Amino acid sequence: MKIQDYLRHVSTPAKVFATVLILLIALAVVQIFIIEVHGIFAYAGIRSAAREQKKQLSGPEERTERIQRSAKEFLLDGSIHLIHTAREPGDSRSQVAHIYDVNDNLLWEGPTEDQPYEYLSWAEQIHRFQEGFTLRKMKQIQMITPEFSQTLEIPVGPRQQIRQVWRYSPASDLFVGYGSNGEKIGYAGSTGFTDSKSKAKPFGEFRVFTAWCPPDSSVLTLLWQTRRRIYQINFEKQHVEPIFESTDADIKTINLHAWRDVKPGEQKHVDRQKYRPLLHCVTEGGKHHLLMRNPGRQLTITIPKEWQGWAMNPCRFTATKQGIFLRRYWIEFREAPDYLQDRELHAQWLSDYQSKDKKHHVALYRLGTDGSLDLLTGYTWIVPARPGPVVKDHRTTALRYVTRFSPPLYDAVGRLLGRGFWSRVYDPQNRGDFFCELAAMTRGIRPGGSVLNWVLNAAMMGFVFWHGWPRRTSGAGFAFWVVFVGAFNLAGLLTYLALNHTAVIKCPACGKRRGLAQVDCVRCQAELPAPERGKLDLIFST
Amino acid sequence: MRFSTLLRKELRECLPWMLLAALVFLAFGGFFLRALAYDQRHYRYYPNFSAGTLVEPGQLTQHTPLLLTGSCLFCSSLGLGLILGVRHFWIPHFTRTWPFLLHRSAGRKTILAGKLTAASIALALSLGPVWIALYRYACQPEVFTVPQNFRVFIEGWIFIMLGFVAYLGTTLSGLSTAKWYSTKIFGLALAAIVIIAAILQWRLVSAFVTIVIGALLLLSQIVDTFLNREF
Amino acid sequence: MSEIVLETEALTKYYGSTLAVDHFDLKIPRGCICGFVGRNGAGKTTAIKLMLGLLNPTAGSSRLLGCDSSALTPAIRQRIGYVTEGHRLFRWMTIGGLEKFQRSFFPKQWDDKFFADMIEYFDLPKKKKIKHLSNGQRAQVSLALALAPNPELLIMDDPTLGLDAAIRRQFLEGMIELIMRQGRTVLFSSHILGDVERVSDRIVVIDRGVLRANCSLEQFQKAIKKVILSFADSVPDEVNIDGLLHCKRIEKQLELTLVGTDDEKISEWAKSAGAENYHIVKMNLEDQFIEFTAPANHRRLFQWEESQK
Repeated sequence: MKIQDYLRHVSTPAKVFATVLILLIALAVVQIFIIEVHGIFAYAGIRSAAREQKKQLSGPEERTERIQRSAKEFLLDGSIHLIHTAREPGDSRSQVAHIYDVNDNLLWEGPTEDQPYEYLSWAEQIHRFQEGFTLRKMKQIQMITPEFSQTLEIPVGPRQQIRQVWRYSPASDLFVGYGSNGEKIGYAGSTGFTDSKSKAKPFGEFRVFTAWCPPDSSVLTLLWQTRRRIYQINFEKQHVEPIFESTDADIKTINLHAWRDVKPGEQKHVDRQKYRPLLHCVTEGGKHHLLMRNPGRQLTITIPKEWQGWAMNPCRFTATKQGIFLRRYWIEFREAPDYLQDRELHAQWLSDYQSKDKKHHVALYRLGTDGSLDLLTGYTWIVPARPGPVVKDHRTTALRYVTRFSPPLYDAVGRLLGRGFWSRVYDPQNRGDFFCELAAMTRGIRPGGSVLNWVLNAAMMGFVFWHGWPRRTSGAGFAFWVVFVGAFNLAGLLTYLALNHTAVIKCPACGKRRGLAQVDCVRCQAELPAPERGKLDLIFST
Repeated sequence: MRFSTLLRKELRECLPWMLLAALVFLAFGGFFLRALAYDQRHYRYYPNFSAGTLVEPGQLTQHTPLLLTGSCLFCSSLGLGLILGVRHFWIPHFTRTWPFLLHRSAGRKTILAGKLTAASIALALSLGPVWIALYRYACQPEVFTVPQNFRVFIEGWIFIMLGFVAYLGTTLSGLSTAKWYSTKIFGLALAAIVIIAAILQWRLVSAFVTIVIGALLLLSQIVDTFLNREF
Repeated sequence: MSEIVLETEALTKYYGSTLAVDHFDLKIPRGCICGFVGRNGAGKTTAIKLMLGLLNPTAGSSRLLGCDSSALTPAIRQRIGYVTEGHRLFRWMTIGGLEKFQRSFFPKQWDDKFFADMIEYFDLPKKKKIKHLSNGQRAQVSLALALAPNPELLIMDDPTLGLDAAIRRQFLEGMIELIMRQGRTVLFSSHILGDVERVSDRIVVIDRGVLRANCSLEQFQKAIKKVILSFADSVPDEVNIDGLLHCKRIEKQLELTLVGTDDEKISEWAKSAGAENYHIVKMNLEDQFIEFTAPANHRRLFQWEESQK
């Protein structure tokens, strides 16, 4: 077999693959564009419809709406207040607060900033844009880009007098320190700051960090979370403090309250006179770990099984001088199925959710020293079913139509890969990974087993059959293309047309269309017709 | 000997563009580097942090001082790749010199190998030494106190490889006999996809693998088209 | 039987659905000088490129020096000289540079002296770049590059296109120089039938991709005749003479273009048709070619000859 023949076995699939890849990407871009543009107009329509509905509310309905929109806050003595804020008519900047008790008695009203009550504040998750440097961001800064990748660097000292710079090396998972003359001064890892690389141990798979300057220093301290551990790294004192280690499960989220010692008036400042520094760590499997200071204490709480499975089920903690408290909010409705796993099921859930009255609950618990939960107070209110037609996701309609042209192969491959694969794709830790994002995108525009998609497939396959029959050079090749178009839908059809646009002529023997890629007619096996020799041609043999 | 003759001829054809690319990269890349060195001699721009404040983590990311030089390298590499592709595979169509080149006592494989080798050498030789020189200059403590990240040096070579991908894309488009509005630009489109996919990788290994796979996809089609006289 | 150096069998090429070359059968023996003629767009260049393996045929095959055109080895290509249409060479190279380039592909057979002599004869400085040469000078370089390796088979695609008479003459002399060497074969396409007439011993005519003539030049020239018959009264309505290609009525005269009709038959028919007299018009090769390849019922584009009468 000549090298050309070997090459053909490689280049032909490469050509088909490359062409279909380009067309799939082009098709996806067009589909997403249509979905988003339609979504913008659809969303505007939904908002105006909602505003219309609002104007028509009766008295009791307005009350229900007010209760629904009010923030439910707890006072230090356990009382519950409902705080409803609204904009001043004619003044978009100023907000007015109306504070009610659980019996709907108005306790106070006035500008929000003047409200006289002090409510319990709770541990909050590190905000990924303002305070948290996530794994996705870590990946993003390492992206090559035309301006090269970036680095994470911690300066030590004021800008004019920087003494050291500590640069994070993702490859070795260590901080590398450089002095004021650029000389290497040491390494920082899980075991602390050291001058020898061999002594430094990596931190572990990075997840998120947050940074702040303590009140007595303008040098940063980092709270560094990995897959199983949390460290606090103080660059001023050159000290790495292991805060927490999970031995049995990965850390899902961490929430902080008064942990970062920032000065009053600063964002996230919490009065340490009233609250104990608290780090609330949730691990896979639902365990809640509370780490407190002043005094130092660690507590692990397992949430009761009956609390799981409800829609909207966050638990928030706070630690005061008086004790440790849990705020639980939940809705008596089953948990939403994963939208991306099953769009139709999610749409059905949304329809059910909107069309039924639902009970909402908020409750305050005190934690015992053994981690037991003692209910102190609670409040329940009913959110009525949304009147009028069910409001769908503003993207659903466009999505349903444009995905008719998506390849059914997306569905088939999606099922083949299984839940485990898709869980990893949608795992927040994998966001920012190019191929995960690509996989998630294709999952988002899959046809979802639509009947019309199959009808279109069949029509396209029929067209390819009609188009390809006179042009076929081999049965296997012909069958491949028919199946290919069935698998890839519109992108497959365009690929087929791009790579099989051979000309056809009318066979003089049988009168039917035949391609020119083969010498013999595919129908009657007649060769390409030779021209009629003119009687007056002067052709004499040599 | 025939291969070396063809290689010399192709390199000679590339020579003006090689020199131009090297000069442009050196001039602009060097200028931007020098300007940044003057501006941020000892340390790069670090924000001033105040005691008792929360720090937005975005403030802790630093661009390399070579960022604008990198942009110049990226553009020069892609530009040179495109121009060489046009020079090797489009110009012979316009000047109708394909028959003169193809009819000689060297197989088509040799002729194609000469062109591809010349393009690789042209990209490496015109941009590589300049990049090495600029990187070494940036690494000097007198220029920037904190040493450069070695990863940036590797990324520079990735840009040069992307120039070769651009060359292959241009070549495949040049060899295509389809119409402009149909599949002729697919070669360039595939090269663009490979380039975008490569620069969006955060692992160097992934970027290399993406480039290698993309280059193989393009190369296999180019070799098949060229050897089977389908142009 | 002399050895066949160039052979095609049902060579066919479609560009899309356009037929460029249609079942082209040709055999050229060694030592033959073959003129390959046809109108613009007839398919000459396509046929030559198919023969040289520069294009893939849709059907059929072609062999040069016993080797399939689709698989011409470097060794075979070394024995074939090719002058491209328009003499397209690398414009940035000097003549000397081109010589070195070309020579490296013919290490054993390159005739340095011959090339140098040709360049000197054409008065071409070796340091001059191709882009600074005129059409004629480029043709001279192209010919020198093709002849210096002393090829067994020389294929030239319209080599005298755009050249003045003097340069054309030089070109033909070069060709004759090669022909003088034993066993050389030449296939050249041309629009200038005078050149074909001067050097060829065989003529191949292609018309709309179809082979129309493949015979010796003598056979071709002998076969195509133009006869003008004069009639006293009216010209006969029906003309049923063997070999009739075209027929034109001009008042009381009948102009017939005949192919392969001998003089006896012409005389017989003239008598039977009642012609007063007839004479055979002397035609050169160009006239014969035009008549042979003219479509049926062709008319003259310009009628100024008749209006002058």
